[in-house]
Amino acid sequence: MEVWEVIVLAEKQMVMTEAFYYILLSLNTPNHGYGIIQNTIELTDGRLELGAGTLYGAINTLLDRGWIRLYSEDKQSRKKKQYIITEQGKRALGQEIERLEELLENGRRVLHQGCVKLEGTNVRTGEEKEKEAGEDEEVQVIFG
Amino acid sequence: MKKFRLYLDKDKEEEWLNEMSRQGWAMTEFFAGLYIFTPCEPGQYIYRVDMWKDALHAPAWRNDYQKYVEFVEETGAEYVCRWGFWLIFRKESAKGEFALYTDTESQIALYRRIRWLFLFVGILELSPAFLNTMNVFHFWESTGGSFMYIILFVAFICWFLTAGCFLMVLKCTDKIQRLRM
Repeated sequence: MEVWEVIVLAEKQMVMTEAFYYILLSLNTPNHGYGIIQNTIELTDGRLELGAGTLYGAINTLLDRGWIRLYSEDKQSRKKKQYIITEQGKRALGQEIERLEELLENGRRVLHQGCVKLEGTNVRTGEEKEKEAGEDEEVQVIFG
Repeated sequence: MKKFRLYLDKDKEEEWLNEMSRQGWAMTEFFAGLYIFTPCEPGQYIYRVDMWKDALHAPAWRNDYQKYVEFVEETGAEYVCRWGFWLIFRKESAKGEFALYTDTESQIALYRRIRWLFLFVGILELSPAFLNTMNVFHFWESTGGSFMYIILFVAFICWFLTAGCFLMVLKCTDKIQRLRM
């Protein structure tokens, strides 16, 4: 198998982890490691704080894939490296967003239909009706 | 304060270092099982034992780990020491949570690396263990004497280490399985 075939395959099959997704989002503008962590915390309201080991591994994988590239390297003050997303990375991110949109759409549609169905079906057993009646009474008692 | 401990399981080692920190002892140096502690505020540091991503690919003498150490230090943690493939970091608990691996994918990758290491060392240990055992039998038949007991002791240690390594391979496999669920 040729190298490009492997890459195309990887691009198609890859389901992005949260880490990859937020790293790519954070690198829409040039950013360094700590900046990516901060940006992710901000975007997720503090829910996701990427660990340094996780981030380091993900950055290396993304560099190997060509989804991000080195933007600048400050050699004087502690070799701070800045990265930025590539065209290929943007394409991958776009595909992932489309995939997520599909997930969301399907999820909402099915859940919504499910509700409609439940409301629409009038096939209920006597017990269920009794239960419901009981619940109603309770509610009335509470509000009364 | 100095303490001698031998840990194969990095999670247990981490737990112990954090317990020592809670008791007011911060680990600062390590050499061949000897841990050196200096006094600190109780619970001042959170310790993490790590095996960096390229540990098994890059030869340890190439100082490749420094890139990773710089990267981790940039995030507010402090590098304590290195022992072969292992790195120890700490972070002041006042600065908040300290976890190096925050998703299951990277945690699985970490335990896979550790498993490879123990599998490799375990297989390497097999040959001296076998050779020493053969020697024991050889001396038993011919001369015997105190030299035989030394070899017996060495053979015992080799088998002990081999067993420990393979046990760690199983442990890592178990941890990976749990993470997958």
